[in-house]
Amino acid sequence: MTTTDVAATHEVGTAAAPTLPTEARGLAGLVTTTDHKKIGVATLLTALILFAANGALALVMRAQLAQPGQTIVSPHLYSELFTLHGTGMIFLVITPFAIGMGVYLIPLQVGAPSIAAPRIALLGYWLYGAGAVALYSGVFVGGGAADTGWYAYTPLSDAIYSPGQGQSLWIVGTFLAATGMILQAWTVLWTAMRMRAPGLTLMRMSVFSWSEVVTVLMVIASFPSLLVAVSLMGAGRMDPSIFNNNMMNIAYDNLFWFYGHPVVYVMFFPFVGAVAESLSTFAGKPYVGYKFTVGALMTFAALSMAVWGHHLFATGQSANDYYSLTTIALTVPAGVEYFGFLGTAITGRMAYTTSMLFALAFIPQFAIGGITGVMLGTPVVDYHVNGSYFVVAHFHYTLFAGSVFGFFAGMYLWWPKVTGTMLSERLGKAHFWLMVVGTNATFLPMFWSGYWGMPRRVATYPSSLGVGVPNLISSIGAGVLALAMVVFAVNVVRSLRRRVPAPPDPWGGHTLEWATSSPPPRFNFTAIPPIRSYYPLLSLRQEQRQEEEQALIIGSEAG
Amino acid sequence: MSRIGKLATSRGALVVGIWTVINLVVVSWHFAFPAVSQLQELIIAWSMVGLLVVVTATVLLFPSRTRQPVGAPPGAGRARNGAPAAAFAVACLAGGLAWVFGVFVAYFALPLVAFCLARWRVEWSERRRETRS
Repeated sequence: MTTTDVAATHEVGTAAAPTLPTEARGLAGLVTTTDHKKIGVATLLTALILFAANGALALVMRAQLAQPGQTIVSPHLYSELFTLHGTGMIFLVITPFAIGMGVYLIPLQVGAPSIAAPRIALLGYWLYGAGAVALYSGVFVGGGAADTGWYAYTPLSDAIYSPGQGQSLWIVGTFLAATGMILQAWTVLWTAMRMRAPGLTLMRMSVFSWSEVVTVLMVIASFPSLLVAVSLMGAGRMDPSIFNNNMMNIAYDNLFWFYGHPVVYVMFFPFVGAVAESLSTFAGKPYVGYKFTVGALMTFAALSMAVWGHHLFATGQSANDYYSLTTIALTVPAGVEYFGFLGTAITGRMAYTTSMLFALAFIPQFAIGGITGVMLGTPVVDYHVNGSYFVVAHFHYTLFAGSVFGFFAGMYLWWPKVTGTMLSERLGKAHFWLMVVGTNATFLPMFWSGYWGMPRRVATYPSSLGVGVPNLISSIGAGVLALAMVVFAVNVVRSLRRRVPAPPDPWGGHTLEWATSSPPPRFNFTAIPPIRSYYPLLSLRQEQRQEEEQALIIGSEAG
Repeated sequence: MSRIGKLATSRGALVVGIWTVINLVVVSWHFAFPAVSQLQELIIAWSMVGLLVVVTATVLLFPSRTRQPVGAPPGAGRARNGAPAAAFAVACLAGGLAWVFGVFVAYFALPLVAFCLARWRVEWSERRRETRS
């Protein structure tokens, strides 16, 4: 038996015995747990709660913008709302969704009993929580929360233009949350690289595992730049004169966007992985173009570190030709990924579960976000729509119509594994259709609003601008989205109360997490099945089927 | 080091207990005499340390053990108690708030950092003992 061709089931020890004496119980146990599954769930649950809170802020904004000239909230409060919404969604919701899924799933998918450095993973979670506390506590201080948008350009964010403690708390919050995510990313990377089960070579990792690996690589490479940027901003709040020199403002822009663009990919790669897992599981076949997809993910990650300057097109301080070229070059690996999606979906026998529906909807919706991204990567178009609702529509199509749909594809796929209970498919499909209608009703009209000249981050607009109708449609769509989330919440509560038990592998999954119980035991596995491909459980089933067929043939010949 | 049952704890619990009492007195004073002066406002801020002390005491009383249980799969021995991680994160928050609201907030972080250092020292010495044996 070699390490790359494990012929027999690999025993990993008794999973039931080692309830460590150091583990506390109850609430204290949750606070101090070193079980990666609990840390992952805590991260995802916190992000989900903040998702609801930030979504509520968005509803207030959409109510304000439903008609021209409304005064539901003051301009200053509106600025606080969009800052908290944007910052919260990016730093505290979708990034933790992406990393939290890795903390939970990577040890399971690579056949490890635990995550590497579980206390570091826990520290990452608590730093993230502390960051959320600091950021939102700005609401309670004099002058209110930060109101400079999620990228908080200098000198707007210095102590002269943004007095009060809200902006300083924003700095503390983002610093802590980003540090937490870096630490969790390290543990995920370490687990995937050093704790894989015998037989699980790098090129036998699942697409989701690969998507997490490239995600955490980008986190580790780019997030420290954010720490430097907000530290610079912090220095500027103590001595605003340093931003009198415009070079420092451009330096801040570069530092911020060196983080700010890769984070967009951090916020969707894991969901690309989740969509790939969902498609291959419910198409009942291995993911098509596995090696090309892995290569595309790596290429995508590398290119994504070289496109940040396209956020600075309008400043005249970046090499527009170069950044336009690298941005448009992203379409090549993106295209390869799309071939994988479509190849798997078209050639498989599809089961239209809720997870599959979310995965299928991800494909065209994310394409809209991606294609408009290419448009924005062209300086001449960017000059026209920069700072308008066109940009808002573009990134909501990538992050909401793309990432959130991918997240829900993963949520419906892995919910039985995580909780040991089944979600209602009927409610799930209602959730899905409301999401599709709500998402497109909310964000599609924003392309027109932006193209016709509506700037982003304005609390109101004159009726003469002619964007009243698209804004009204967007606001109605936001209401539909809120209803969709209510349906999802009902589904979750119903699932947890009724507790319809989930078998270890309710979907006929392909990857290792489906080889253990639902939910998995403390150390994940009692035994690891033989691993001969990137779809080990499907391989096993195929081999068993072949053996049965051969036995039948031999039996009929003997008869 | 002292022992509660079979589980190792650090002696810091006594110190933390005393600290808790002192801060509870401070908190009580705050509730009895609402703040009107700058001094009292400062004391109110300091009194918040009581909350942190409770957290610290809670995590400090957890035992530490590095030895891997018999039958545990590889990697399970890593899974020690995560109390220092939670404590350190709260200390970092206090450090950040100290930058915003004034250096006195850093006071909140001190017991937590002390706890983390104490726990690290205990685990390090236990690991050394195991390595030698």
